[in-house]
Amino acid sequence: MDPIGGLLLGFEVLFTPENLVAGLLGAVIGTMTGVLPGIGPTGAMSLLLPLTFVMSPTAGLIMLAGIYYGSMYGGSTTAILLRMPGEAASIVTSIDGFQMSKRGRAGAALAVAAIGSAVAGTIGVLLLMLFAPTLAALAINLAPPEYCLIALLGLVALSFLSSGSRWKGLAMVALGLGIATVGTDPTSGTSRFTFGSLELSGGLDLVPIVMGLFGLAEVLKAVGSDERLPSVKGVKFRELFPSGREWKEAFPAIWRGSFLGFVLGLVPGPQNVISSFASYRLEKKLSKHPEEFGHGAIRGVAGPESANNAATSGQMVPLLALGIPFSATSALLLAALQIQNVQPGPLFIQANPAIFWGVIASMYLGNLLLLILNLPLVGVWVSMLRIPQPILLTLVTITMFVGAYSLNNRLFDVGVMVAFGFIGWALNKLKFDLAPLILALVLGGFMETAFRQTMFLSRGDFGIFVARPVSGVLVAAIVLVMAIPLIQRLRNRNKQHAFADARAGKEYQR
Amino acid sequence: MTGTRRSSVTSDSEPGRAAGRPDDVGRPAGQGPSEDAELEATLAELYEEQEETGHRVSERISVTVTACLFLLLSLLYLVQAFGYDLGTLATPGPGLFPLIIGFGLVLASAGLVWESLRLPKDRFVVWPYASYALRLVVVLVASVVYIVAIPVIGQFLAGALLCAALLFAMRSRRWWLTIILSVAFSAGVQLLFGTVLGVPLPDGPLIF
Repeated sequence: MDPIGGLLLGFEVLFTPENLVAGLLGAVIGTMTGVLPGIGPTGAMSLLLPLTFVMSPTAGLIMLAGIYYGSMYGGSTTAILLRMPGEAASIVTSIDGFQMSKRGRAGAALAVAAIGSAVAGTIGVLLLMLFAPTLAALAINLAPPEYCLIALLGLVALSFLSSGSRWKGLAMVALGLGIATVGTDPTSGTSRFTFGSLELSGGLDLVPIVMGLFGLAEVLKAVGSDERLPSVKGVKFRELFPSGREWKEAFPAIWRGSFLGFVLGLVPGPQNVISSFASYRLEKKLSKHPEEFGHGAIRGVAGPESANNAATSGQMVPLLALGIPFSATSALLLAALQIQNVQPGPLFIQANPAIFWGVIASMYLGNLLLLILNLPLVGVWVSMLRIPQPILLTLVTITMFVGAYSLNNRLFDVGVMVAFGFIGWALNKLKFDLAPLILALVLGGFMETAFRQTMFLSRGDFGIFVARPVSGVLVAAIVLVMAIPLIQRLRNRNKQHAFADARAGKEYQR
Repeated sequence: MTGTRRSSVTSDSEPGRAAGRPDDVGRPAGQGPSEDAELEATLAELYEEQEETGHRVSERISVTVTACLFLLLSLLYLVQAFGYDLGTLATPGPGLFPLIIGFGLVLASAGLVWESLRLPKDRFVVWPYASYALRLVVVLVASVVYIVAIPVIGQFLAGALLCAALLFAMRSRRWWLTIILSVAFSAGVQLLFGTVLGVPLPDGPLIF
């Protein structure tokens, strides 16, 4: 379907009461999630997953996507005003954004962040709209070995490129895959790891696990902290306009950030955060006045905020075109589709044009909506910070408990959620990254099926994994990802030796 | 404005979270150390580690213990996996993939044990002190009570109890506000899921 036809269909699908409400809800909740500390996009999305069960697939996806990119807007508000980013993708924004605040240019920073996010979001959706169907069309030629390898690449990349040790990442991947095997094996009908339990033979449902790991674990963390959020004075509407000079500086940064963010979003990893850091570095390198950075450079706000928004669209490309998520948030979007028995994969766009184009249309509208929500209404969000955390968290928790029950009408799921809540809390304390775990849980079944099909096709020969050019490239990519940290360590060691030599007075020439 | 609390940032996996410990930050390959150091110095300055109160247990011990538990779990998983029909490579049975995962688990745990034994001695994990730990236990007990009691007293009452326990755990001082909020939240959730969304929620001894 060509983009124009698709968009027309999309807007037609979007302008129904259910989908419009879903979009609005997603944008509002997303902004709130970004503004309020203690719950991030993954927490909010997992909390609302049970709700999507009763919505149509389109509405559910629209809402969750709205939360996802909405939170990228909201996080910058507290980052700029209070130097307290509501979520990690806005950490970089808080560096220069807060400095601008201190100089009375808070309004300008907020405006640039919001407008940059809107522009980047729109560019991102445009690129998504153009890339995803093309990629999907190409991907139809992919065979089980390639699917298996792409999933493996995603898992390896996420565990190797995330923060923390690689062994921890691998352990989380292995654990996730292991949990995914619990239940009845679809191919042979054998019950695995069920120990005779009737509930377990249906397998461990992803949603309660995710609600526990991302939702309840955060609540448990907050139970221990004693934070009092400082009050902020309101921002007057007139102050919201950046000066002409600020605009001239910000605009190229927004442009660059959008493309950088989108491209980085295509790659596995927590790309919203990584792209914001990458954009900051890029802007600093390109700037004629790098010394401004850290003291209120508007590019340090415009670039990263645009990048983190565009990365959202980038991450949705492999999700919608291939059916393979490359991060925790896109894994949750996939879970939403799975709940509705919608089959993700290269045929998804072809088979479900209403859903795909409806979501695309909603993202265009959503970015516009969020611009309105985040600029004039910024005062509303800031005043929400005055709600004491215990009240918010209690409301969130009770919603999660009932939500978990509502999935399958059984208390077992609530129990799973509670168990994983405490497990998640402990893992967070020990600095294990949970994203590889989620990804492995979501991809586990898919990867096993692809693996078995591959083995069946090749009659047991592992060589099939390098037989075709695409699979060969994927294998090389996996090896490369695993090798990068080792190479880096060797380089660092060389640099240290060189440094030591120089200090010892030996001549060192670059 | 006091120094920012690192813990307010949501823990969705990212390099920035470990800003207080630059060596934890995952960097895209190829970045020069000097630019990074500057960025991290700025971040580290912003996010001075908040003095968490609690039992400071050496990270080495904490992670090693966890890794050993993990190893135990992997071995149990592996033993169980052997029990399923492996099939052949050409026709994989239900046991083949779990077998591979089992070995992967064992490998990862072993690697983790090896790595954790080599952790520096000066890094700590802060486990909760009595009061925080007690609050966590309250939440756990409340959750279990909720699950167990719901068939008897119904969702509304169980939910209200849960809310009250949570608010109490988060040190709400005013008991009357706690009761009002608990009832309100539980009723609200009941309305949302039960009425608006039509989910059948367990009924209590009263009409709701």
